[in-house]
Amino acid sequence: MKEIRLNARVRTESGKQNLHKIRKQGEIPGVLYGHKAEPVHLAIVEHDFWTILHHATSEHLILSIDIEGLDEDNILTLVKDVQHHPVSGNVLHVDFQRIAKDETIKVGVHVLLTGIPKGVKDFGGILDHGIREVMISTTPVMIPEALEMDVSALLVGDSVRVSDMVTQYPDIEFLDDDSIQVAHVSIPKKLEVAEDLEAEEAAEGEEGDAAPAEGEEAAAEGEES
Amino acid sequence: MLMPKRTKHRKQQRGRMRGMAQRGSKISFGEYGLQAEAPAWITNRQIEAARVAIMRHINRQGKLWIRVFPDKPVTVKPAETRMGKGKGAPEYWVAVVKPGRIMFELEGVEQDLAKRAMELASAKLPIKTKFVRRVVSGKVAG
Repeated sequence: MKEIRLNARVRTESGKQNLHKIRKQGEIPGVLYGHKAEPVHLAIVEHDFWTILHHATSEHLILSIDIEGLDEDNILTLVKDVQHHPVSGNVLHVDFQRIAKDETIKVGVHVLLTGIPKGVKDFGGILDHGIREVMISTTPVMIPEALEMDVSALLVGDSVRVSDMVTQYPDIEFLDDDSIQVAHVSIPKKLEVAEDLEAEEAAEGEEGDAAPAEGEEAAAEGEES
Repeated sequence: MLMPKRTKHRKQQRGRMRGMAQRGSKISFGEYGLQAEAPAWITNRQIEAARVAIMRHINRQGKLWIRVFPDKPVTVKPAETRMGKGKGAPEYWVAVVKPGRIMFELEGVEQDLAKRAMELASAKLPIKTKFVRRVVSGKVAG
C-alpha cells in the first residue's frame, strides 16, 4: 500500500461544543495513539482527508502524518477507525495508530470479486457476498490495496472460501478461519418464492375480489334499474 | 406480517424518538439500501407493503434484507369511549425508526432496478427516505 502524506495540528480543544466548532471550521478531530506513547489529540483538514479517502479502496490507510506543534516529523500511522455521521456520511472523527515500517500489523483488506459467475449468467443464480474484508497480518509496506478473486467459474451452489484465497495468495498470512465464505452462488429462489407469492396473491385476490364484487353487483343493479 | 412471537409485557409506553440511529446506519448485507431521513413509527403493514413492492419489481431475482422489526405494540382505545378506564387494547405493531436507519437492503440486481424498487417501497412508507449504495471510502465496492 502506498504511503500517503497528511498534515495535522495538535488539538487543544476538547469537548462536544468545541469539536462542533472545529467541524464547522472545516476540520476533523482525531487522535493518535500506540507504541505506548501518550495519546495526542489532532485536528486535520476535512478536505484533505476526504481527497485521500476518495482515492482509496479501503479506510485502513497507511498515512505519514506531519503534525504541527509536535517535535516528531512524518509519523507513520494506520487509520484504525473512521466515524461517520449516520445520515450525511460526513467524517466525524478519525483514529490513527502509530506503526513502524518493519512491524507486523493486523489489518482488514477489501476483497474485490471480479467476473460474473457462470451460475449467475447461465442459470439465474444469485451471487452472495460473504465477508467483504479479510484480516491479514503483514508489514505496512506489504499491505495490498485490495485482494482480487475471480468468481467467473462459479456454478450454482459453488462458493469461494478464505482457504481459496490462501491458495491464490500464498505470501499473505490470513487471520480469518479458512472455512469462512467470501462468495457463494445461491440457488435461484424463483420457484420457491413464486409459490409463496402466488399463494399471497391468491389470498389478496380473494379479499380484493370480495369488495369490488359488491360494488360490481351494485353497479349492475344500478344499470338494470 | 412481522410481529414478535411472544412478549414479556402486552402494552408499552409510547416513548420519544429523539436523535439519530446509532446502530443499523450502514449497509451491512447487501449492495443497495433504503435509508430513513426522518423519525417514524413504521407499522408491520407498511413494512409488508414495501417488501411486496420490492419483490414484485425485482421479479424475485435478488436477495432482500429487512433491517427493521416491529417489536413495539400500539394500543388504541375503542371509538366513542370516554377518557379513563385504562389503556386501550393492543392494535398493531410498529418499528421505531430514527434518521439514518437502513430499513431495507438489496443484492443481486442492477442498480437501476434496485433504485426503482426502493422508490416503490418508499412510496409505502410514511417518511422521506434515501436510496444508498455500499461504498468503500468514496469508491464503489465489488
